[in-house]
Amino acid sequence: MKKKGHDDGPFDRDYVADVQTSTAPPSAKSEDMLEIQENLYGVAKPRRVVLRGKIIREE
Amino acid sequence: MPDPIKVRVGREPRIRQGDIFRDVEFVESVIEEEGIIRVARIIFPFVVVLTQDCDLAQDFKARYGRKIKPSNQDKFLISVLVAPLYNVDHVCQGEHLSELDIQMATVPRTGGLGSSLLQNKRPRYHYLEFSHEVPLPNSIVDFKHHFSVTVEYLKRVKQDDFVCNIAPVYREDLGQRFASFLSRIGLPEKKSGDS
Repeated sequence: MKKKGHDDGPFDRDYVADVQTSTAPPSAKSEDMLEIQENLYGVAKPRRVVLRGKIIREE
Repeated sequence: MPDPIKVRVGREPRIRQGDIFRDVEFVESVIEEEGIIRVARIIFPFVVVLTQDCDLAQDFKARYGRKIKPSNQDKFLISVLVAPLYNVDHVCQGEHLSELDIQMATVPRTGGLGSSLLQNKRPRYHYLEFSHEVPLPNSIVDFKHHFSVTVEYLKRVKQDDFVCNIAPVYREDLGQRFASFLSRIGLPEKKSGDS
């Protein structure tokens, strides 16, 4: 186990210990999960946000 | 078609190569005119960190290490390289930047172009297929759209906006293909009449 706050980066022997195994093919995605992905993330595209404000100069 | 990649969902304090964040801001322009400032930002739904992991580890230790503080800031990074992830369906339709009024080339899924895209045979793009445990659509990383953000910005948003980390060796595959993309050599085009 790693000590709290300790990080040896990619060379830590425990580095791959918490890799999630995920070998299910895309067709195995549940309908619920597909719906969640579509609602939350599927349609997201980069968007522009513009802010305007008065400048207050600090002395 | 490749199998889904493996990811790690555990959140660690530091920024790691292969970390995927949601809603990352890129400052497009800052214009000051007659006492009014106008800041335009692009919000990318998802980005992946491309900076070398050992550089990120050294930066973290130098900034936040609990042991002896270094006598200088030699290991501090100025910024972190990231690249956006686009929904593969949007990319194929050429519509992934439509909200920025940018029309991109379409890529028919069937045929040579689509198949080379999904098999990672096109240097500019990297296809990532996620399993059903991961709250991400299958995505394309566009290396040409890479940009930088500060370490402190990512550290600040990590608590809320970290999604997952691409596991080794998938991360190394991504990093090596990015390095290869950046190190391309543009050869002069052959002109008519050249022998």
